[in-house]
Amino acid sequence: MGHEPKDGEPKSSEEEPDERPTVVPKFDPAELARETASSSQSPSNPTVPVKHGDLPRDLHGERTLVRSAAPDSAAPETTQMPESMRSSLLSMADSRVPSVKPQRLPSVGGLAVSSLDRGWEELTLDEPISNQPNTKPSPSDGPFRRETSRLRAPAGQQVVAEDEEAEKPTREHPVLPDGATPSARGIAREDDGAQRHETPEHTVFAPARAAAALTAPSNRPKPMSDPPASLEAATALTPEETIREMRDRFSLGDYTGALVLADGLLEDDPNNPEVKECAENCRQVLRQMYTARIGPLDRVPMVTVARDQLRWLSIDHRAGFVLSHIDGISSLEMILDVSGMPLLDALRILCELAQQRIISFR
Amino acid sequence: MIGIDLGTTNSCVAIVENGTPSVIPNRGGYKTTPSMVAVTEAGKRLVGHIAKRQAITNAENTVYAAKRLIGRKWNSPQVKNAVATSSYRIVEGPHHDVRIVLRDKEYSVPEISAMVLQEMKIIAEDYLGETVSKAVVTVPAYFNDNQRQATKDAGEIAGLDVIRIINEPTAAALSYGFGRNMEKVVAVYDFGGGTFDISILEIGAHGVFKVIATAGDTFLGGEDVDARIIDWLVQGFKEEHNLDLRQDRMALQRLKDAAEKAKCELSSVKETEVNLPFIISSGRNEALHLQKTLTRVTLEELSDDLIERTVDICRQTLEDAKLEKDEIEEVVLVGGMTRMPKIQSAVATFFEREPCKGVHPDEVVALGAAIQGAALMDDKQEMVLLDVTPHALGIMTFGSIFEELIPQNTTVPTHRTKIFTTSRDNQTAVKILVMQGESTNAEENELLGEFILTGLRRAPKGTVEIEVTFEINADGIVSVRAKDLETGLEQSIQVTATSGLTREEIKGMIDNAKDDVVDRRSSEEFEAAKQEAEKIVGEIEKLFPQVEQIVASSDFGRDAIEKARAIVERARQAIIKKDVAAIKEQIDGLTRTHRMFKGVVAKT
Repeated sequence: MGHEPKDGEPKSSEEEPDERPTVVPKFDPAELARETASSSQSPSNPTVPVKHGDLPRDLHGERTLVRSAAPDSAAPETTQMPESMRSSLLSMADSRVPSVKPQRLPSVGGLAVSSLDRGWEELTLDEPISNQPNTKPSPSDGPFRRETSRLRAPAGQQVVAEDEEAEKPTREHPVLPDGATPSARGIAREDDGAQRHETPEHTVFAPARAAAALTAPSNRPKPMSDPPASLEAATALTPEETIREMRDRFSLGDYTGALVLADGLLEDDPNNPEVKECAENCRQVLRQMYTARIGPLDRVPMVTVARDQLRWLSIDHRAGFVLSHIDGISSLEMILDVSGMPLLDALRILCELAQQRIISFR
Repeated sequence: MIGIDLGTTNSCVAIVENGTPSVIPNRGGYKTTPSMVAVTEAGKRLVGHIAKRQAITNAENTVYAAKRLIGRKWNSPQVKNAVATSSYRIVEGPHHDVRIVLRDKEYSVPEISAMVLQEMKIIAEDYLGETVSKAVVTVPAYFNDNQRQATKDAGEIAGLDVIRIINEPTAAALSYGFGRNMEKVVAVYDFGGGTFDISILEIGAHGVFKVIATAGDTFLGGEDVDARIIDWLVQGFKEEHNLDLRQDRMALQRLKDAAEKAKCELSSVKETEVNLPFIISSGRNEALHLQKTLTRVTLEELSDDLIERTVDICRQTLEDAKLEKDEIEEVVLVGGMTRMPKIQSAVATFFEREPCKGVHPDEVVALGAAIQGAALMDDKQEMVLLDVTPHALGIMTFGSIFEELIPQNTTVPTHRTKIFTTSRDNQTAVKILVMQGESTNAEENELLGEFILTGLRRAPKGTVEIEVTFEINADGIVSVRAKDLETGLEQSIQVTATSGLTREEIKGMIDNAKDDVVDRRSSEEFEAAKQEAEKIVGEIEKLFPQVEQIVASSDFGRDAIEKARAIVERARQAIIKKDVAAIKEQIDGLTRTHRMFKGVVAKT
């Protein structure tokens, strides 16, 4: 990936004879998989030092297989492989959906709940829901508790993810694409957040599995409403199976995926109370997550890319529309008001624009 | 006292400060505010520019041009037209009035206009730093009593005492400096965003502005020019990419904004570039861009017929007023469209004289209203406009003939009497239909009320005499009395202009509007306090490491650090709880802490 230009630098490409400067390199998951695998296997290709915790770990535990629902998944199905390689592949395998709800370890009671968990609980739903994800740490979450104990997230606090440096897509820390499978990114390890060592204070994360949905940038224009491949496969299921799938996704923290399924179910049965409740809960959680990610809505975003360079960005027309409203005067709240699209979509686009450094904040 | 130009597409507020009239800019720095109201998906109310920016993407819940509906009855042709052409839903109200549905909630038209007026009031209050309660509001010269009353009601709902309603052309003439003991015939050419009006005024001594003739087109304005530019852009894009941008609301919203911007720019430059990256995605999910250069010449070609239509209306109006072009002594330009060079030249060519320049055409009406307001407040000022009847008043007679009793532009209070007779043999009752308007055909005028005088003597037609008296008091209330001169029997009716709302309804709306203002003000207060607190917290946070290092060895210092942390935490909690009083309370502590920290750092 050494040939890829830095932000704002012109990118020379064989496919594109004219020099088109680009801000964010186009993302190719297959290439990433190859490079990630080769970087951990080939001694001739020195591995870029990766900070422990930046890559998501196995979802179910040390030796558990993550089963893919995506037919085109590049990851080999194996139960054992070198730790470094497996972690890399699993970071890619965010897009895979376990078809079986993972077995939960019993929670360890109130004393064991870390401050981060408390903060998240306060951030999430006010009303308990039947299939609310288990956010209690398992006994294996020991390091998580220790390492995140200094995080504070009091109830209702406006939370800002300030560690953009840690989460922005870089060569050292590749981050998954959002655009292709926005929902599936939610499938991350439950204790993913345990690996965040250098989180500044006043930063609150969504539960790790949900936070993954926030970290991945969208390098490819694709509307949020487009179901990912795994979800398309889910449409072949019977309504009962789809509901089960929706529950699974919700319990695993794949709120976007659960929402897409719920919306699909509601088209056929708009009065199903469970599906309605799940859809609403997904929206609420996602809204909180995106809001936490983007920060206070009274901030005023500014476009950091020169006007004449805008057309070379890799964004879709919806992001282009949101971008057209960013004038250096209007606050995020105003932009959300005038975006003319569902709040979640607008929030996601703003998050992605910020993550791609197309916009910054005053 | 403020002057408000409540326009169809844009509104403007002005005041007279130290004898000089000036327009008050809104928070965005714009001197005009779109007369648009919207309700978002989240139920939030948007007024002005922010409502305009989402007018196409949230078309069903954005009200524009409410002025075309204000004070009109449900069955009027203008309302029927609006129902057919508006993107928002218009329904019939409980009193045959008009209601607008936004997010399943019904609003009366005065209520919508009140939201715009309230915005103008807030702009003025923010500028002046004090509460504003009185206003002069302008309306088109053709507005009837019901429309004027509805505008007054809108002002009342917005918390404004509308002390005078004046005609827009009159306000424009005032701000151009006419009316100060000069007698002139002035043409006011008003080409705004949504409507075109031409008015011929006769300005007499003692502040009497007589509207000799007024005409126009309520569906002809700058928006039609925008639409032509949009058509041109859409067509060009379709030829290039075979994609119709009209099918995408977001694309259309951007086109609308860009078209308006290009139109404005072409008043001062010869060509401009319309550059809309990522306007739409192709079927292959590839983002497409729109980039085109629009020249002034092309714009003039695109809008040529629209300009010609305004000239035709001017020609017809002069004919109706039985005036020659050379009798017009001044031509005043009003409305943003009149900045377009082609329009200025068309007006100059038609009237055979250069129009007056020097006052901003967007601001001129509001400035005139402010001048009138200042004059009303200042007893010493000589120039005071008199209240006049905007339309003639009379009754319908046999054969659907309108018999005028009080002519148009009669100063009030006034009263006039006429004697009528029966139209049939042995007629024992007469129906008095009270009407307002200028047409000799009664059916074309507005019916204000009716009553029946009975008990007439049976006699051949034309022998029984009935005296009809019209009286308008100082409050503008019209009384009509019919009296059988032979028997002395009489019947009467009192006609009061109505906006279609009852007093109870207006009272309820006033209360709601007050609540909205309180909510808005408290939200603003919270935002201001929050920002101040967050700013100090940020500065303290920056100093923490340095201070901790400096005072690490001292118990006292460590204690101070703990206290500082507690203050910061309390401030954060107050912000979370949105407790303005608590935030303000913590700001003192934060300020002291910040000062102390700075002192510690400075000493080292």
